[in-house]
Amino acid sequence: MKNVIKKEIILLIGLFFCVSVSSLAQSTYQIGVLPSFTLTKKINPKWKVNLNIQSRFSMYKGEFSNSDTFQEDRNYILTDISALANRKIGLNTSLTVGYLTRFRNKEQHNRLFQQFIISNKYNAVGLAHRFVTDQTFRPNQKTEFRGRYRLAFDRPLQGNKLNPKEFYLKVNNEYLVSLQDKKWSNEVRLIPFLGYAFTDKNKVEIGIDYRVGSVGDEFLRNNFWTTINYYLSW
Amino acid sequence: MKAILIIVLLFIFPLYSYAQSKVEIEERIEKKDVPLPAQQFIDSLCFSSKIKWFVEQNYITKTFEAKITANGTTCSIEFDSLGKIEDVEVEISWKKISEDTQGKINEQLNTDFEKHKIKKIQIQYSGKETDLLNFRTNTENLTIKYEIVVKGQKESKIEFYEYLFSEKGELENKVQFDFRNTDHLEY
Repeated sequence: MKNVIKKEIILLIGLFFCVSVSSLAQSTYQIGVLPSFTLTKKINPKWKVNLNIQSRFSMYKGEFSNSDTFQEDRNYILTDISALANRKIGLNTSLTVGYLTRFRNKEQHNRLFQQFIISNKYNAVGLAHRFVTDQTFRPNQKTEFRGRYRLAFDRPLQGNKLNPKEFYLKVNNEYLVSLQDKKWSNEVRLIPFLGYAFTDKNKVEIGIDYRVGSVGDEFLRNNFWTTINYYLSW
Repeated sequence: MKAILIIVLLFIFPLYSYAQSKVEIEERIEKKDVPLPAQQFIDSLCFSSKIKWFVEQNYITKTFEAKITANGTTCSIEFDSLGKIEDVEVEISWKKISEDTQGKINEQLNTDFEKHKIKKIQIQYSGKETDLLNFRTNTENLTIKYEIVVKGQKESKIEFYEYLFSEKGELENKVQFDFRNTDHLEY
């Protein structure tokens, strides 16, 4: 099983770097900060509810091909507030439905999403596969439909079990395809995190959320968000 | 009298709770921090793979553990606080257990849970130190048990358990694990 996990991770990293290298041809970048706060409440053994608040702030932007375009861009971009209901459907599987509202440029966008999650633990390594479909509704625009797959894994940095007051490593790798008004776009995300568990239900993580995405055949955009996640469950 | 009874109950309850659940703190350590007899035991087994040392502590005991992965098989060798060998555990597949024993283990798990999934199986060898030194080639004089980690669902509640079965599949011990929170992986 360990060999399978190793191969899977190597393949994903390989794919990610292929996409990243090809993206250097003609592409823009944005650097910023992405703090998020996630609250999870277990209602009963089957059901959990979850509330997430996430904001984005840009710091710099430019084009890879022209270093003169690098400029400061200190702006608040958006805030997302989402609420989810999660139901366990098997020993390792769960279904989630949720609603997200986004506040951006004095506009409010609404998104519905549905998730199927498979989570497993192989000795020290925790693995979760997340499959998502979502529908975004923006004023005066056609509905955007997205499909997403995310592989997340974590492992403690001290020993095989994550104990309170210990650090852990987490890596998320996500692939997204989007369809809006007959136009397709895609995005790949790779986010390595360093996490710290105050307790099993109280964790903080810091990482670099790298996103590379295409919009039709026009250009590629790269985003580097310094991500700070705080998780609280009870 | 009533106050004394309450105080006694307050002391008894945590001990009872401890017996039902497994709470261990595991920490990676250097070889130099391991008692000498344990180091010597491992050295005499001449493993070619890397050896990782851990100390495990709970409310009462402290043990040392050497973990070795060779040819895709994980082997854990456990020692007491003074470095005396306690047992050797080797990860195996379900197919390696005899059909009779499989049947008895399944019977127990089907009684305990509505649904269950075996997450890990280890064959456990215990006995004299001289016999344990030969566990890879001769298990004749060793006591064999199976340590099985199970994720089970009962009355809609999902928990992790560690079972210990005899070689013939008789239940010897069952402890519940702390459920690991995975919210940070899922959201």
